[in-house]
Amino acid sequence: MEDLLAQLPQQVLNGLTLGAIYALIALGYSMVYGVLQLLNFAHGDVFMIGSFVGFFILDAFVPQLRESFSLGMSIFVIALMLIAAMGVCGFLGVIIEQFAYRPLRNAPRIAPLISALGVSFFIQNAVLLVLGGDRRNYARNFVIPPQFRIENADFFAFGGVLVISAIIIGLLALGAYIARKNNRLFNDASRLLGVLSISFIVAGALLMLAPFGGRMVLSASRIVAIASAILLMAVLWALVRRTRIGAAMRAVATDQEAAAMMGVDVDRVVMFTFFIGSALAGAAGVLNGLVLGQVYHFIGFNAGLKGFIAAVIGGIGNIPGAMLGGLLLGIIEAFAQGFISSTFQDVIVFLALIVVLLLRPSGLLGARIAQKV
Amino acid sequence: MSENPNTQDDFKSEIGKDQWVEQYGNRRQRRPGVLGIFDTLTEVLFSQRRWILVVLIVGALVPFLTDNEQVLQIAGDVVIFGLLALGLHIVAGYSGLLDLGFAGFFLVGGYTYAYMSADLRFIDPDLSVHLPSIISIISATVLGALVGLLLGASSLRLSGDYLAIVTLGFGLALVNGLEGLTRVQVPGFEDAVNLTGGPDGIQNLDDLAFFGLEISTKTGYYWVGLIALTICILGVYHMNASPTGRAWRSMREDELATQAMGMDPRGLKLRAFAIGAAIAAFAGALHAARQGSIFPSDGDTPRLIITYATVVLGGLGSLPGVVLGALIMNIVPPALQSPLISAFLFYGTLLILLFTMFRPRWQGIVSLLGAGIFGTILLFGAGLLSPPNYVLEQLAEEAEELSEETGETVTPAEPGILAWYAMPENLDMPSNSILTDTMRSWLVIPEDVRIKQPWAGAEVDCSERRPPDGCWRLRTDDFGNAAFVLAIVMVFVLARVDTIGLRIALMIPTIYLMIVAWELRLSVETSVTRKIFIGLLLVLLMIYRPNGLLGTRRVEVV
Repeated sequence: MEDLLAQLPQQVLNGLTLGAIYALIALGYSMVYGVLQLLNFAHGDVFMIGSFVGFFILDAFVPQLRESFSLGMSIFVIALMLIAAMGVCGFLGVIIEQFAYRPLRNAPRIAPLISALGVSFFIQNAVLLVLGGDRRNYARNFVIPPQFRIENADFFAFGGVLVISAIIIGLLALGAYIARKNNRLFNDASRLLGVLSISFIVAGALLMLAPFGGRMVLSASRIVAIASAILLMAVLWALVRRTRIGAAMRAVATDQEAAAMMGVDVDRVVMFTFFIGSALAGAAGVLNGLVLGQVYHFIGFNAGLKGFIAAVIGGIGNIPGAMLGGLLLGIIEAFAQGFISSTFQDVIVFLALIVVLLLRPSGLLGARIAQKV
Repeated sequence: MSENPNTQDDFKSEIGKDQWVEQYGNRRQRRPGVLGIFDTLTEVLFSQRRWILVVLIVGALVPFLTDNEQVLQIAGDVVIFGLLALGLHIVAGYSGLLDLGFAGFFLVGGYTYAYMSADLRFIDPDLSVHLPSIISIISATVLGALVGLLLGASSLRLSGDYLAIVTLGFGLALVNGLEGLTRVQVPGFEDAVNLTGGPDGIQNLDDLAFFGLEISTKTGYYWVGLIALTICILGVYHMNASPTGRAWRSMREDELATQAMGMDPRGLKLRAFAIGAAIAAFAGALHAARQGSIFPSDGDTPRLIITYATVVLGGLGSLPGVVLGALIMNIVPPALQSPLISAFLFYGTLLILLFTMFRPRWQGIVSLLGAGIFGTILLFGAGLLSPPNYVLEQLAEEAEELSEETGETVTPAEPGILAWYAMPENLDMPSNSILTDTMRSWLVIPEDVRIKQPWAGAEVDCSERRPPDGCWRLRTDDFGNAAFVLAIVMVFVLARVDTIGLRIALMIPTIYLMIVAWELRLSVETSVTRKIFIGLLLVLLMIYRPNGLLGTRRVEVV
């Protein structure tokens, strides 16, 4: 029992890193599902492509990084990896949508699903053919040296900062809640801030307690992963809430036909959704490579599955839900791996999914939708 | 109606038959050309119950016509995986439930059979269970049905995509468990016990034996499979016509309306799950017995996707379609192992696509000719740039001979910037067909190209035998891969191009790239190529014929 307690904070950290990556994948799943009610099985393979794009860019820069390491160079390379992977994957997502899903927009529900399975099988095996089946190692130590990390002593301070910021965010949430006046923006803001403040309090308290438990380490690559994921999610949030195309996306998600009648170009919105969703998956692929250090042709299958589960747990079609679901799933998986058995982490994750689905069929944050006749 | 004056007289009125529906065939217009002939053929062979007889008679003839092991192996695959597809046909085809854990039931059946008819040395050195195979097969089927019921009951509240993901989780968890339960603490045992044999599965299973008749040959298993398939097809055929079958189909179209008509969707779903799972488990047991072993990978995701492809190819919800799908999906991939057949299939498909996809048709011919000329120009261009490597080898030999004769050192000709194959026999790749040899000697196949990286220092010499850092090195395989990726990109670009001139200009290099990709990579890695084509097939099928080859177009309720 002592042992378990000592491990707890470290597992929470692992879970948060994993969860940030899952949340990015889940966002793409959830957005596409929200707009098209389509389960995009190829999403995981887009993630894999993103991971490979990052791998090749990093590989090209290894000679320069080996000669002389500088922080600026390192940031430049990571940014380049993320941007290139997001661009390539976004483009790939648009192509997949145009060729495999658009002709099936009005087909029976099962048709696009099978088409998606086909796309996934095609991409996986095409990559196997071209790049081979070897597991490749990300040369991450050259871009993020392993000696950059936070250890025990720093955590107390770090946790304190988190708790204080959680209190501030909580106050903001309260303010937004009081001032909401049936305004969607305030409504959503209060909900998001509430979720953020609760998660910050939990994380901060755990971090403050951590040094009393046992040794824990947060490597720089994990910090990069969590920070980039949060940054991307914030950008996405602003995009969906504050821009015209975001409003169009929400309109199409609510009612495609009505949106079309109001002059929204549905095809363009779907294309854009696929671009954004796939770009996030590509970024997740790069971050996954930086954290776990490996990439091969089959990682997409598992990642896609986890992303979907995260989206479902949070409430599919719901953007804050996808974030929450991703974080939760990451923590569940890290606990399962750390405390129960690494062989059965996937089984436990699926059990969690079934439990959530049985208790709340529309997910944690999903709204219950009446079936239309 | 006036075009068919006889139809009125032909129809003998019967109670319960609608004249309009009965005369549908007479009113239908034949499609022109080959497709029309195909329609007529399928109509004659596959209408009514006739197709069952046709398939069975042809199937029963196979063992008399050949005793080729490979043919019988494939025939056995057709019946057993056909049986598996038949189970999926009930769940996904009739009832419209997207069960992505379906391959799991195949494993349930296979492992049940294995636990009842093998020496289970991995659990305990002395443990061996050998029950009569009739008992093990029946218990496999029953257990499959029970697991199906359980999975169905736990996911009754879910529909559509949620059902898909939970069942997918079930399938993965099963494979995961079978691979992972190798060190389990069981009460009563001191050490951790290996319960499942892990990824190595269970081996040396007993052969099937019914009432003293032991089945050990491929022919024997084929007969067992064929008889089982026949019984199941007849059963499913009648089930489809029964009230349950009609209720399933109506549930597939509209669950709410079905409920409103007084039927119970929960019971219907459970029945579909149980029957489908029972058939799959039965197929799994037969598969385990025939293979003599069972592995977790027998029911992994590729098997699931191939089974879905089988059902979808023939037409979701069409029983003859399942048989046709099983025939195609099990006969074509092994046939592709033969280089000659696969080459003919590839080039044949390429030609058919060229001549059918584009209007006006002359575009296909022009771009094919263009690709021929383009390739030939490339071939001679490469020859001008640098002689192909077999010429270099000849020159080197001649130079050596000359220097031995004269005693002076004679330097052979310098290679140009390109080292390339011109004779296919130099290529380290399997080839035993004239077609492949001809195509390969027509292509420019680079052997080993080195490109200096622009930022590499001046001292880097890329023409060394082992090029140092700072050189990009491209081997034959890399060119094949690059051609494959480029060909895919070109196809996507082509789909967006509308002007004929530009399209032909793009089609010429695309055809060339496709041939390069095929000859250098796809024809070499047959098992990967097969999966690539299955993926492509699923997508194209859904786009161009979502109702499959034999399925009827369903009316979508808006």
